Amino acid sequence: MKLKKRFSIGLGDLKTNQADPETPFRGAKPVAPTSEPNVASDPRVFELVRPSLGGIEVEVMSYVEGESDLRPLLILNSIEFPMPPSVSFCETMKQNGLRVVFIRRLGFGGTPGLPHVLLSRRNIDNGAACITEASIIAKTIKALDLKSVVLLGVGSANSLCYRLSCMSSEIALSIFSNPVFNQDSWVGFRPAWFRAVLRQTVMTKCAFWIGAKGLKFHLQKDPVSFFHQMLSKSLSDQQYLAENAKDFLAASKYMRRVEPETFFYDLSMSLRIDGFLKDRFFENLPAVALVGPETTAHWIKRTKSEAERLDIPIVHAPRGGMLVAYLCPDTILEIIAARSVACK
Amino acid sequence: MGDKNKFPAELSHLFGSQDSEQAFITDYLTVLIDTLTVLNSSVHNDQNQAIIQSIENAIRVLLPDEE
Repeated sequence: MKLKKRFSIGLGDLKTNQADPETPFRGAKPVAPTSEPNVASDPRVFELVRPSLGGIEVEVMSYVEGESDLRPLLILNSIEFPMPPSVSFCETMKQNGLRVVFIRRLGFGGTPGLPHVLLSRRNIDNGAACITEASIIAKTIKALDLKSVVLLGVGSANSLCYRLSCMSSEIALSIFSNPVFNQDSWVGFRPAWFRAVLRQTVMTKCAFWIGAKGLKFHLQKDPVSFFHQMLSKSLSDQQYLAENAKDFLAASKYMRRVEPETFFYDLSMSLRIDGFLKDRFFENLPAVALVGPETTAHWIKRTKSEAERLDIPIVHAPRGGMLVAYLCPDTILEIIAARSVACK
Repeated sequence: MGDKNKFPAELSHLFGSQDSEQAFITDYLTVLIDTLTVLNSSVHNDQNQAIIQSIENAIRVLLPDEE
């Protein structure tokens, strides 16, 4: 394992980059010390990990360093919120024997994305892009020496997590929160303008960068409003937003750095048919789907239908929508306890 | 496929010059070939075959054209 550069991800980081928020960088930079008390006390410290020889670096937050005897709960982020869960969530897990390990995915504002040649429509559809990202994450799991991992995929990260759960022998249980699977997902997105932007982004190659630019413009203009509208289906999601506003401000900064090709890749994997998900795909995999109630009835119905086809059990959380994973740590703990027999 | 540490050097011979973009792609190729090696020696099932196929696709894309 090769660890280097520690840096915090808080408002201090946001302020550091406000002077030039749109400038992408190749490799995350350590953040200058800040006088912000909340940042200084934030234990969610990121490190850059090199999963192999060479220059590829992955951003990893391990809550907290020195707790290596705890079972890892590995979280991979969705495109709309490339941030770890709240300190409260991490503390709950720690008190129950789990160490939250959050990986900010490649190209999600902190590190360079996949090579552009992989992000063409053809290489997204034939699985080359997603399997490359999965290979890097699998290598990172090994580099971090994580064992008996509980994998928690959030939203658009699930296409990656389906593959990772098959590839990495260190993953003992997979929880796919708010999965899209292969369904008619457009009607589930609110508000209407957000749905239109997403549809435009993945439908045509010449239009995807316009959609990405539109998202970035909205994020820059009023990030809180952007997230408030995006989470409008769920009062619990909006409550999480209100309680963790600094995380969402930081998320907006990372999202503005995401290259259009990476938006195109991630949304295409989530919103188009994923041929990798054959019938009864999860039959022999220790995995569950986690869904919250605060979404449309249509979405829940279609998710249930797909889960039956794929042979994966659904766990219904008591609250939440897109952020169900971060809102319901107790439900995640119950899943892990119930599935402990299946875990290695 | 024995010593994975040899891959970067071996692959670097495939490229004319080692600018940063080529080195970046070489790093990815190294990881993919290493992963493929492991998967080829593990249990074969439908999922594994699909993953292997995807990795082979990615390697083909990243390898430079033969000239």
